[in-house]
Amino acid sequence: MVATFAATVLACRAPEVTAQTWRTLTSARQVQGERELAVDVQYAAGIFRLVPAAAGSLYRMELRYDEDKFVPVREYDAQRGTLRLGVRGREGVRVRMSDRRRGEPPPSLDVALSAEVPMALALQLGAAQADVELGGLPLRSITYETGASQTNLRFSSPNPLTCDALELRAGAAEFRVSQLANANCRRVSFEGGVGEVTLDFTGTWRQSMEGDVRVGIGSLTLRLPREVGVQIRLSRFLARFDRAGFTQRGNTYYSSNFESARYRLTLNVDAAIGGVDVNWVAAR
Amino acid sequence: MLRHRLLLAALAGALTPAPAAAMGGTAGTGNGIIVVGELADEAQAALTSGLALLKRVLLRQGVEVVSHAISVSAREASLELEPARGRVRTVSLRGGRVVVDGETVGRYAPGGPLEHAWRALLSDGAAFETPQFVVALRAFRPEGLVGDDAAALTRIQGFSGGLVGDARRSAAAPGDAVQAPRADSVAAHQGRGVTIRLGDIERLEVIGHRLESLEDVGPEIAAAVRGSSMRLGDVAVPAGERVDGDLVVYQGDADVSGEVTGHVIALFGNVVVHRGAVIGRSAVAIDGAVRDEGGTVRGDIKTLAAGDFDAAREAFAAPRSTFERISGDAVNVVAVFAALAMLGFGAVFFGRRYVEVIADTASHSFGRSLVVGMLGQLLVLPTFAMLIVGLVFTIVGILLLPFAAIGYMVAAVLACVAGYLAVAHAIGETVTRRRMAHGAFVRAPNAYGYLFTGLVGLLGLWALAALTGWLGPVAVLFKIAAALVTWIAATVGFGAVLLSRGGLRDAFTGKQLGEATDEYLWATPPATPTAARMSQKP
Repeated sequence: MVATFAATVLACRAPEVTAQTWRTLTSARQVQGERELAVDVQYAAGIFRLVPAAAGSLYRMELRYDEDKFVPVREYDAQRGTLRLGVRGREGVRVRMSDRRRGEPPPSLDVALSAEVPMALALQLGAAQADVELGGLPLRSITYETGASQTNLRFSSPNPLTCDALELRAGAAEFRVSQLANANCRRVSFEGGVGEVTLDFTGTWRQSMEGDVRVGIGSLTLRLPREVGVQIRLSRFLARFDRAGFTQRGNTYYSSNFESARYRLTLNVDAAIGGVDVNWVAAR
Repeated sequence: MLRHRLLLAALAGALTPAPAAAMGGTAGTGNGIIVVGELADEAQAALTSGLALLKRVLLRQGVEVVSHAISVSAREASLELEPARGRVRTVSLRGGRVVVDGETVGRYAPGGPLEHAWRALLSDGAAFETPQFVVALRAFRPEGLVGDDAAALTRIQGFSGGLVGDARRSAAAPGDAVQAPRADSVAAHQGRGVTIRLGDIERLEVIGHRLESLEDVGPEIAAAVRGSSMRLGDVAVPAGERVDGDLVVYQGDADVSGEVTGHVIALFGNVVVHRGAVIGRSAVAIDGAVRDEGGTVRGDIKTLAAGDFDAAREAFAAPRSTFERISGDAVNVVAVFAALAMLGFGAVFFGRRYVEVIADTASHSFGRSLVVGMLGQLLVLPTFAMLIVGLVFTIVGILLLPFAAIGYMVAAVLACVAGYLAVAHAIGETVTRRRMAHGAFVRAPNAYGYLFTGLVGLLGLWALAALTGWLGPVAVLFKIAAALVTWIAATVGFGAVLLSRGGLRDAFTGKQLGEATDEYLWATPPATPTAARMSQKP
């Protein structure tokens, strides 16, 4: 009887669950006289955070990942002035969002970038929850692409350099950009599929700005500083537009101070389905 | 415990080579703590300037190493260092082997003291920039290792010493002998509580933020913590002595017999206000107590438990956005729906007859099923207790006990789930038949379709509650309604399972009605919508 009991218990034992193999990788590098840097960050899924690094630090990365499915990317080429950070999937391994067991902390990537070295920054995120603080970073150009994500992109303090272009692309996302004027970019573009998008043009204005905003389905909220002259060329399909504070001439809307303002913002807005809301706020 | 610790005093001394040597300092180790004996005066002076000094001291290292990487998993704990000139070097502890630059150079006891200390070093050091980590690595000297661990440590120190130097060599002047540690020095320092873990530095930095989010403390105290020199360990203000401004003590007690014009704040320690002492503003103890022994505190006396910090940490964390909450709740509802649908489809596929009998019982004997279900719920635990007691009294019963207990619990859960699914089936069937009776075309008027329809109805309220999460009280009402409906469905289902004996007995299914009445026939689905419309004509 006892033997039968033991045999039954052994037979009924639940199969072992294949455990994920979590690994944490922390990597840091000191500034060594770099003059320019092209930074490329790629991250598929998880929580992503980016902040300015401490003085003297070129970059700092803290990565938590499943080493059975991903390989960390950490490539620095001093001669070419390139830095690549992030993870890439292992060949032949299928990654599913449901792989993470309940209660486990999510995979994450924390990156800190130097506030001392001018850089061209490219961020490519997949299904990530991103909190990105670019305030104070010396940026020559910024490219930000994300798939299905929730993004909070901030420029809390001014970019000490003049930025050529800020390109933002989002798939299905909740996307919020704060204090865009601090990016100090001549040109801003946003292309979004589905989601809730907020573009906040407050901050310190040091040059006029032009922008293209294309939104598929969803709501677009523009936070515009009263002190800046705004011109919006609107193309819409089934989208409503909150025209308060604007004078309309054809498909173009002008703020009352457009001719007299020191800085001007010219936006080409293309919205399909949803709404374009405008909030007038103080510049800072 | 071989948790790696740094003594701030030792760090200050170790990183100030010339004066330290001139004072004839001794250096050594003890249980992972570096001690510089006669440098105590200088070190004590250094202690008083707190966190800012600590950071400054740590960052005073020359940058020989420009980059470091720490990689830790259950299998491996490895370190990579890149010197300013020369090749990248790695050392890792992996499966009992010490691997330096890809070659096995020694062995260690997996899970033993060396691995423990090494992982603690990497864990603590992961919070630092490269120069700071170099300091930590220099101080890595766990004691009490024997055998393979001791030999492996020598290999590791050979690796790290070649790259980043040695704390003892830096502390002593060239040519000075490095003396053995003095046990009393270690004990004295430990007893005074002036040691600080590397991880505490991060803790110090967040304390100010957490204090701000505590309503009882407020920004004034938080500002005092951030803006004042922090003293480590016990600090006394003797009678007749006056401290202008705030007094902030970390990991120690503040014994005040004299006068402090500002706040007195003990972080993880006590504030003792002796007779005759005067504190110009508040006395605050975090994870400690304020003991008033006859002194004067002109401001508030505040005591905060460590738990308040955890609450503050949550308050300090970013709240979930509405979008995040709604999408999260909606995903949960969809997941539950999918799980129940799969279970239901499986039940219909393998035991359609039993599901239909239970569903018909719930449908035709709703009130009876509800009452039986409620009684059943009340009796589940007493019956389980009786079963256990009954089995314990016989030898065969004792052997069967584990199976019977597990079987009973599984049966109870299955009865609830099966009953709930059967109720969903009954709801779906009723709705479908009524729609068909009104001439609607239903693509799949079968058990699968009934189940799907019923689940949509039952979980619809949960979905509404999830999607109206931003409406506050409305969402709460929906959740209450959904919970009530779910409970009723599960109870009726459970009762129907009991009444129908798990679908084996069809006495309550209405099949004994005999000749079909008009009332029964109205729900009979017509073959086609056209037939239904024709049947409505006179």
